[in-house]
Amino acid sequence: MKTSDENPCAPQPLLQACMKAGQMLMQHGAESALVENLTVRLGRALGAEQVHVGLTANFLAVTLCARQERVSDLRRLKDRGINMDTVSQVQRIVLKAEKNKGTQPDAVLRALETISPSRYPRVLVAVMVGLACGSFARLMGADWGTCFWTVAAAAIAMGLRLFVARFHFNPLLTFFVTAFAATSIAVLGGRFLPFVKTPGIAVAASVLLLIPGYPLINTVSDIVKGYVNTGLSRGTMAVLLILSSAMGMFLALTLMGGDLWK
Amino acid sequence: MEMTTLAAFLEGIALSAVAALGFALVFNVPRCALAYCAMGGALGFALRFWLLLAAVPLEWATLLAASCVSFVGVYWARKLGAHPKVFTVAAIIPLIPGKSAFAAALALFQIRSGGYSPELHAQLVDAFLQMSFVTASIAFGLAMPGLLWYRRKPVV
Repeated sequence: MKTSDENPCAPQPLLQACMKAGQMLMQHGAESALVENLTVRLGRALGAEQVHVGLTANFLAVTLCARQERVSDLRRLKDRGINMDTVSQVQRIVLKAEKNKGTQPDAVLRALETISPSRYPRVLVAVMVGLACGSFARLMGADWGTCFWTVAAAAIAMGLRLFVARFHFNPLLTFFVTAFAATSIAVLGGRFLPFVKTPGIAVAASVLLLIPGYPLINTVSDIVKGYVNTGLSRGTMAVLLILSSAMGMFLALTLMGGDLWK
Repeated sequence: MEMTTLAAFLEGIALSAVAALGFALVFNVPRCALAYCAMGGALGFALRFWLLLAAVPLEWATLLAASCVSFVGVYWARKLGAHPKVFTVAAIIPLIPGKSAFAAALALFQIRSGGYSPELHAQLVDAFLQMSFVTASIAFGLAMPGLLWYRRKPVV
C-alpha cells in the first residue's frame, strides 16, 4: 500500500488544476468567497499542504506547497458572462475530488477542460425573458394589454441583446442599445396601439431585463465577506451598466417619449 | 382576507415564479435547479405580500423575504450539491424595486429636459431612497445565512 509520502502529487499539475478551477469560477460569476474556498479545497483534496489564493477582478494568483516545494502562478481573468451551470459543474468536480482520495490532478484538469459553458437556446431565453418582464408589468399594476406589449418589447430587446453579444461589443454598448430598443418599442406601442393603456409601466418593466443581478448581489456579498477589491470592481461595473441602460432609455424618451408623462 | 386580495396574491405568486424562471435562463442556471428558482421566487413574493398586508414597512418585509429565500436556498443547496447562489439570485429577482427605479430615472430625465421643480425633485429623492433601501435589503437578506450561521464552514 502506498502512503502519501511515497506517491505525492507533483506540485506543478496540482497548481494547474487549482488555477483552472478558480479561473473558471471567477470568470462565470461566482462570488469571491466561493472561488477562494473551492480553490483551496481542491488543492487540499489533491494533496497540497498549503494553498493561498489571491483574487482581483483581473487576475487570479495561487501559491501552493506540496512535496516541500512551493510553486505559484498567475492567470488573467476575462468576463465570460454569468453561467451558473459552469459554476455548479466545477463545484461538483471539487466535491468529487474531496470524496475520492487519491484523485490525480491531471484527471481533474481534464474534467475541468471538458466543461463547455452550456447556454439555453436563444429563442427560448428571449421568449422567457419577455414573459418575465410581462409578469413584472402585471406586478406593477398594468392592464393585460400593456402586459402583452411588454412581453413583445422585452422579448425583441432580449433577442437583440443576445444577437449583439455575438459580436463581442463592449457590454456597456450592448446594454445601451438594448435599453434603447426596449424603450422605443414600448413607447411606440403606447402611441399607436389602442390596447396599451399605460406605456410608462411597459417601459419600466421591459428595461428590467437589463438589471445586472449577479454583479449587484456579488458586490454586497464580496464586500461584506472582506473581499473589498473584487466587490468594488464588480460594483463599479454594475453601476456603469445601469447608467448605460439609463442613457439608452433617456435617448429613446428624448426622441419619441414626449407624451409619456403628460 | 377579501376575494380580490386573495386573487391578487395567487396571481402574484404565479407571476413571480415566471419572472424568476425567465431570469434563471439568462443566468444559465442548470436545468435541475430551475424548479427551485421558480419556487423560491414564489416563496419570496408570497412572504413579502403577507408582511405588507400586516403593515410591515416595505424595506423590512423585503429583508425578511430575501433572508427566508436564502435560508431555504441553503437547504436546497445541500440536497443538490450546488452553491445556494446558483438559484437564490434568480429567485429574488421578483422583489427588485423596478417601479421606484423607473420613477427615479423618469424624474431625473424630466428635470434634465423640462427644468427643475420641487415636485420632481421630491419624486426623485423619494423614489431613489426607496429603490436603494429595498435593493440593499435584498442583498443583505441573501447574505444572511453566511453572516449568521455559515461564518467559518462552507454551505456545501
